[in-house]
Amino acid sequence: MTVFNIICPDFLLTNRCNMACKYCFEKNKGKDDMDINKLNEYLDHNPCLSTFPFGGEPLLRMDLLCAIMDSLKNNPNIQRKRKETAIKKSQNVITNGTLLTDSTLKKFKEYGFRAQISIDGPKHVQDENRVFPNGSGTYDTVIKAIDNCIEYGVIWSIHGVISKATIPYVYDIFVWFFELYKNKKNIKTAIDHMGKNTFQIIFEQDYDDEDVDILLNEFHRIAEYIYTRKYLNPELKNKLFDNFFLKNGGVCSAGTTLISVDHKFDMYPCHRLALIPEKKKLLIGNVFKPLELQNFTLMNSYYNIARLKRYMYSAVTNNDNYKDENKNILRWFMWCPATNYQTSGTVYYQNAKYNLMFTELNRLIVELKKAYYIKLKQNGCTRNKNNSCKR
Amino acid sequence: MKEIDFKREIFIKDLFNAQMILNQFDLIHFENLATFNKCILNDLFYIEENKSIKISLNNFEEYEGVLKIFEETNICDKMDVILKISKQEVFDEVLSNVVPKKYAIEVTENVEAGYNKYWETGKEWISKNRLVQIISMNADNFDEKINKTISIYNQQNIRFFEFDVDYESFNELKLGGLDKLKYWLHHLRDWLVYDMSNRLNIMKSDFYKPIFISEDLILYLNDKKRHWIWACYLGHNINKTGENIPYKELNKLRTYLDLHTEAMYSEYDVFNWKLIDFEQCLKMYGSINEIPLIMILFGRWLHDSF
Repeated sequence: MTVFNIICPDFLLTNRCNMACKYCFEKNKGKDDMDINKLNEYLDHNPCLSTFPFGGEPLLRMDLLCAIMDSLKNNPNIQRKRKETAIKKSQNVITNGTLLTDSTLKKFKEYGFRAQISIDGPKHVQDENRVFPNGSGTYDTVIKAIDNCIEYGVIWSIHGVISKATIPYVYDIFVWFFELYKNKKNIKTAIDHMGKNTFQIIFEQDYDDEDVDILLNEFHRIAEYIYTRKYLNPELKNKLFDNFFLKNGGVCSAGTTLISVDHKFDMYPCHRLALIPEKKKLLIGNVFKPLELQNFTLMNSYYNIARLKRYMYSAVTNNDNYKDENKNILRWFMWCPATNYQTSGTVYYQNAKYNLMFTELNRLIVELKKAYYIKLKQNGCTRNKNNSCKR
Repeated sequence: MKEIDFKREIFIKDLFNAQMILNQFDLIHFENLATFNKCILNDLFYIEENKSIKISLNNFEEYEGVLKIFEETNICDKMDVILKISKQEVFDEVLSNVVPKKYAIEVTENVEAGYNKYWETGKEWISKNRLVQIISMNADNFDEKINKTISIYNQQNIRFFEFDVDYESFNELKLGGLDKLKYWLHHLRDWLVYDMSNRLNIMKSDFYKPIFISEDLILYLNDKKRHWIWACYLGHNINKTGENIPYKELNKLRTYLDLHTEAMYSEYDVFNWKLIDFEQCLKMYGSINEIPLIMILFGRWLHDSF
């Protein structure tokens, strides 16, 4: 058996999903699952460094998730240290959270899975977009799932998406995320998590200037919120500010080390491109036919971005030219080749409306920092954000 | 909330303004005189220094119309004006009726445009202006076409050539074919360089973005008008702003409008951007940002390096 060896295969375990989110980029969802025998056969011949299970909703095929982990653990071709790393990296599962039931969580505990739960914020925000096929909201179910994770001692985190419809609630969303982490974990975790892409704004929408104005105002309110929390000392306020406002994006390794494999074991540069209607022209090949690879030009584009020049551009800003006065690169927004492709037809160009909105946001952040940031003084020296002393 | 020193500087509505599009390109190629007039009428184009325009002329009446514009405006002083002619009879009439203004004439390969033939009639014009011969070539005939270029250079005294290369046809060429291409491009280069005159015959060109606008006000990357590769419907969107034009349409235009050298990916430096055909980049690589290797090789072998 010869297979195409992928360092980090991104497995689309199933097309199915038990939800019907209004903004989902996966239109015309199928009802196909990966074949467990073929999956095992592939994993036997590809001693990968890690995997990234995806869907649809991956928990609909918990058995496949477990099979991947078993394969990693039992594969004699993977050296011990590398195996440990691979297993650790492969334990993150992105889920909508609605299937985190007792039986699933027992498996989570057994295999050491960590749940990355998608939730968009408070009830009115979550239920605006993230709904079951019958239209009913999912908020209550997901909150219960978080409590279940806590009860079973499963590591969890929450991540959300902001759409054009929920931009007016960005402040509410921030507060909700922060308070939820604070109440269900602790303040330190809450502060740390706000720097980890806790939520991001959808790329592929027709934003207008009103959206931009509202978003800027919401961010201003968030700065005010941070600096008026009496339970946070100045150092923690600055840290939370840094984590949330100055978080760094980056360019993923999709299309290079990470390649998506769908239920037919067809390969695409990333999971998003494997799920969109125009996927046919983005097909690279099938993992079981490594000598029939195609679409090299697309792969070269990904390689250019992820490994070589790492340059993407748009109407106002490119991905490395927006800097504050200290030359720190500000990237509240993300640069995603796949969404670039979807919105502009090329992996190099970011949606101009999105780009402008975030360029303005980054300008605002510079001013917010000037207005709100607290200069810390310790033992006669001023500490900067890296905690090094400037006398 | 604390007061902050912040004011919006850029606006989504300004991301599209039909009246501001054409002049952002280095060369604006109008399909015919009627297109040029339509653009003026709709304020889609204005006279601006250091830009080039090209108008394709299909008959002598169009040339007369162009002369009227030359009379009434300062377009020849401000802009680099090129008239493209693809019919022998139109060219013959045009060259018999040249006026002492600064404008170039570009002829397609089917038009015989030797300086010697017209020296008497257009003497004053010829001594001050450019007469450009377009040579089209592909993988099957590049040797013949390069030889033809040298012949025209020698026999007709033409000094300005523009190559229209079907780069995609070179996809099928094997290594031996590439060696042959290299030989012929060096051969051409040697004729042009050693013959005399100056190396300027093989021009280098900075980054350069042309646009073609058709009579129905559709933008294309070149005059081949292949809408299935890239087309933007300027005419349909005259009254739209960045806010109400759909993002996909806006991005398709701006992908090219905002293109700059940093956003271009190529294996080697480009010497002559006029040899880069963005439409063929898109067709061959699926991205306007990537320059196929054959385009780079063509330019570099012609320019003596590598």
